[in-house]
Amino acid sequence: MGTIVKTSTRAFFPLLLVYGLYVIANGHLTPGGGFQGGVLFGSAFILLLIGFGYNKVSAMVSDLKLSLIQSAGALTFVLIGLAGMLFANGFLQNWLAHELPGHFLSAGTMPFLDLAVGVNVGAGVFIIALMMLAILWEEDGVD
Amino acid sequence: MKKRTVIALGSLAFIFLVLAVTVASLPSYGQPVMDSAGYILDNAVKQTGAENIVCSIVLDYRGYDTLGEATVWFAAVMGVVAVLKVNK
Repeated sequence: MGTIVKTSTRAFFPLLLVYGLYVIANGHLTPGGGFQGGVLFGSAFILLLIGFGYNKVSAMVSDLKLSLIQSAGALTFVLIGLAGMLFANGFLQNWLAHELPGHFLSAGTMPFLDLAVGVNVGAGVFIIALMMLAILWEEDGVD
Repeated sequence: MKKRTVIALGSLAFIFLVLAVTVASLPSYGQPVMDSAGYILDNAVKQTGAENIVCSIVLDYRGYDTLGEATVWFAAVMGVVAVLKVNK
């Protein structure tokens, strides 16, 4: 891609990462949550793919590592749910203290479930974009 | 009548009976208005400690639903990888 796209990618990539993390971390306080923040986080990497091309980005990450990250996110969700059976009286019960509404550390397990969903969704979005661009790259050599 | 016709008509009548009893015992249409929504609006912040009520529904009251969504998403990504994976 051209200089303008590359320069704006450099400007917007960290901004999108921070905004995605903000939406995930404040899911229990403000509109948003794991899914929305995860898609924002993943779209930052899609912007990187568009700006710098498939070859440069795929040299930095392997899809096996991304799949492992995504699986870790999904597994964390289930493990937090199973911990509810151990520490409370049911699967996915809110087993951490959930007082003080409005504080950053409130709502018990919810911020952690949000983070797990965010990792799952963000890594998944990036994997799908990477796989589709890999097909294009194999067929036409498009960079 | 053939035996098959009798069985078919009998099971149809049984299903009709079950459905009729179910419909008769349902609350009348649209009543009570916003019952569960009203309950959640009144109690969500107190019960879950989350300011964002949507989040408290998605991750607490309907946590199983979110687990299902995450599973569907995970399966979708697995499907994309299985179909589109390029062997270099």
